[in-house]
Amino acid sequence: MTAIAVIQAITSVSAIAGWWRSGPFDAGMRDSAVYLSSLAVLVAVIGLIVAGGLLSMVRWAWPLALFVLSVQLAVGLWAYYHGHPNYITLALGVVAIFYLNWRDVRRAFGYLKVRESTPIE
Amino acid sequence: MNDLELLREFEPILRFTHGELFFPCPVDRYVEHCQLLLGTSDEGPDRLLAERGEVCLDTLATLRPPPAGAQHFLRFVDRPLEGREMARWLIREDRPVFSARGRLARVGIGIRTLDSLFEVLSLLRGRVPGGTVAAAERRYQHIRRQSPQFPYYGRVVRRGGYITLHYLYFYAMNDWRSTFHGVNDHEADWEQVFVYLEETQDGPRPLWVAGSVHDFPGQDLRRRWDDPFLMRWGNHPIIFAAAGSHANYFQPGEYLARYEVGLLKPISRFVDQVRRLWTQFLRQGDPTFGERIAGLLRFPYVDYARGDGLAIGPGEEHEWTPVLLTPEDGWVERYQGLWGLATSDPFEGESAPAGPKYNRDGTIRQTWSDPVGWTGLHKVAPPSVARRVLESRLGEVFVELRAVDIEIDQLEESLPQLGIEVEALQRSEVFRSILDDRQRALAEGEQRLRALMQRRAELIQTAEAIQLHIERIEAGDLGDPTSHIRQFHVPLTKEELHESRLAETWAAVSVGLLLLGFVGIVVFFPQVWLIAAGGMVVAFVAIDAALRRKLVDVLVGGSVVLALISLGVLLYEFFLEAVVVVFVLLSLLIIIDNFRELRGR
Repeated sequence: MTAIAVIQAITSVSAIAGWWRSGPFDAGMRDSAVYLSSLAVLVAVIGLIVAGGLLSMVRWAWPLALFVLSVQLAVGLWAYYHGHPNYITLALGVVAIFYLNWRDVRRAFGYLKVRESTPIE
Repeated sequence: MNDLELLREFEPILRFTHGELFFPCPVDRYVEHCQLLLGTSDEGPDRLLAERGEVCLDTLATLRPPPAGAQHFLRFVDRPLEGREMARWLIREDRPVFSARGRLARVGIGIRTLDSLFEVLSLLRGRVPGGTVAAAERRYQHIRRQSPQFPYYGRVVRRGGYITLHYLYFYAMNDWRSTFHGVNDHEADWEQVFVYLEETQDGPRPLWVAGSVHDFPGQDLRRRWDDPFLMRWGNHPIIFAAAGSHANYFQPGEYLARYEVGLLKPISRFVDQVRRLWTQFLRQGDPTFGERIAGLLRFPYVDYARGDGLAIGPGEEHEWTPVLLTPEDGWVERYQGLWGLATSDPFEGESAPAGPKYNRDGTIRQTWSDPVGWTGLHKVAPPSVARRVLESRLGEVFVELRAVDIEIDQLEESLPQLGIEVEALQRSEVFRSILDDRQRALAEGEQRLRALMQRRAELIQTAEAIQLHIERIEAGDLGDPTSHIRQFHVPLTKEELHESRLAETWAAVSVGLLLLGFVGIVVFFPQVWLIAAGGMVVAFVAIDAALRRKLVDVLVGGSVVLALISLGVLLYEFFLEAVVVVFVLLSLLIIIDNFRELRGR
């Protein structure tokens, strides 16, 4: 779990740093590019929060981590489709999602359903 | 007690849902209101054999078998209500009001889309004509005014160590589809409940109860008499008959029934294999995930078995009128035709059933020929028989144990002698052939002794287990009453029942809106149709999941799908590298494992 949290944190920090270096909201940017880069930063910030949550094993971090990873994978697949693949992001995302969905991990975060039934009084 | 007294002693109480239109009805009166027809498998018209009023139970008993490919059937409604008559029936003052939350709010948008397609396809099926329920209800009310009693037809079967009390209920119509948004409608409906007894010195003792639920067979249908989920009033089990379908449930409530279309069964089997790999081998997801995935290929329908309507049976407002079936009842024994309209529905759900003894194809129902086997009771001995069987088996175990002990003693005595003999022969170089022979005998003796020791341990354990089980049975401890049930039929929970009004409305309009949205995208945004359509589907799924409080489930499903696609991309791009990595990892694992062994030595 620590590894996933650290990777998530590094990914988020590098995304934010890259965005800052490239000069956010340059005057010449198209509207769509501004929106997309803002969205990427938002996801990166959430990713940082998720990393902290995963390290402290808090319940909300699990679905939020899945959300961030899903967005990252969706963006990764979109980039691959347009000829700009980032295979490392894809591979890390796949491993992280399968790990988070592993039954023992789900149990640790309190997301394992049990069948319930009670007799009639 | 004679058979009729037995039936009365344990007769079930049937509780119906408020809004139910059809209750158990006398078959003789029903038949008098029917036409008798002969249907053929070709496209030709059905032949009318007898008009209403000319048919009685004796007519059915004395019918000659139909020609090959043809089938007799009754028709209760010859003229469905239409126009004004239908409107009058709908707004009649004494119409029972039934309200329920829609079934579609209880499943996701994906299955709702499939369900809509199925509904469209079902228009092409042979169906009971519209207005039939209304006409049938009018006719049934007429019968009820003439004969206000509620009959059940019963018989007693003594086989397999059990006394089986077989209760049959006849309804003039199954109106599950038309009145309660269910799967099917059909004229006539036979439902059954069984009470299984054992004969003891103190008289018959009830052990099990089973009820028919949509043609499902098997042990899941039975409940043990001491099961806390089985409700009873004295010696009378309480059964909750579902509205329209009349399926029998043991607890009041609403049940999500899933109907599997035959065409989808091969896909369903494949999904089941994938599900096992996913949940059992890869340990992914939660234990209920598999059931939810399997449910994706089955259409949802609700059986309303609330038990808040009319009740029939001991201690209730209405009493039963029992009718004991005997081999002299020719209508049971000889009439193999259908008890209502025969439609050309390929799924058979809209065709009327045959009688209590026969299936639609003329074969004998298992519930009739083998009621004990129908609920898997052949392998379950009644407690009194169980004790006798166990004691007999214990005797056999002890006899075998004695024989094993004797042989072990003999071998323990003879093998050392044989060993010394072999040792002596090994030191002598003269008798080589004798040595070979003795060595072979020694090896065989050793092997036999090992097998006997193993068998002895097994027999001792078996004897201990049997003795313990006998003690438990003597103490009245029959074990967990639900251990035989693989899949519980449990009512929907309070949370599942109380979907918000918004969720209900959304469920009703979402599939249509989605289709309209697709059309709008193709017409107005053809350049970006793929992104727009994908975005719209994601938005719809998210709204749907949020309203149904299943956001986490949908998030997990979505992330797993994305992960699988990404994995596919990675394998496609780096297949050779992936194979190399797998082999390198395997090699490393083997080396590490061997090193560990080396260090541990």
